[in-house]
Amino acid sequence: MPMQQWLEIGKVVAAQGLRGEVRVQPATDFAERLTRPGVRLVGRSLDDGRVLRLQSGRAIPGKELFVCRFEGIEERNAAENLVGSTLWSDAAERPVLAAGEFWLPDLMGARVFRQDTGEAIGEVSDMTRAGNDLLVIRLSGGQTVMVPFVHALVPVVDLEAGRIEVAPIPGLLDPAEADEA
Amino acid sequence: MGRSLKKGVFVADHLLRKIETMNSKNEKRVIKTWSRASTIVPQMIGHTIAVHNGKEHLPVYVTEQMVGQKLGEFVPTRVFKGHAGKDKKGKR
Repeated sequence: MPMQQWLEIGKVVAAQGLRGEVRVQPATDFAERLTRPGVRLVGRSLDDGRVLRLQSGRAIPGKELFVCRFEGIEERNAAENLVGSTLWSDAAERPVLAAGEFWLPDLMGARVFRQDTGEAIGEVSDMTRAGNDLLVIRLSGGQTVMVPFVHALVPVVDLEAGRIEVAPIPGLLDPAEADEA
Repeated sequence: MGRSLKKGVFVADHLLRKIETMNSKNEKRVIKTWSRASTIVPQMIGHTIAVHNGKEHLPVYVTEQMVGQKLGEFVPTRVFKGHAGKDKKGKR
């Protein structure tokens, strides 16, 4: 199976109960990937993964875990065999996003430009969280900088053109320019 | 016991001075700070403050909802890398 067809969504960490359910630690922001019935790939690696049908899933209140039931896994022993496996979902299934939300795979690799000069400065390599969502931008020189993903600093996101514009203030793209206090 | 109301909230003097100077000049630039204990005050709204997490400075764009909280609350000192996956969303 081609690697890019599947997107990692979680890991099976334990069996749950006697009826073949498993506990899954999510690696996704979209709960419906672990609750909505459909096809998932389960295995130690993409190459030896097998396609299973997710029948149902639910979140465990107060824990960052989901309980999932797969078709054909009816008893605890079968569920225990899945422990340690990774879960993948079809990457073509796009999640539902609210206004102002963006899916990381869409943002990754987007070219980043300065809004004031139009100069290309690098590309988005990742996103992390601290207060605001932070775009991790790999600059053309090789170093990485983090830019808060807010309208004031990232006014233009054109996913069709793969273009993001940053309105930089001194110290944002070059930390040496920042004031110290 | 909470902090005395007479004193007001704690904001590092040097940080507040920098912010007020920039406000008076209507200027915006990133301010690096180590003062994680400083409370976010309304003068900081719209500024980008790079707060130290023990290793590096992470930029925080201050919004109205953050007022009253400490700068350090928005920059965790421990990085959890357990659930690394690409199926994430970002909100602008």
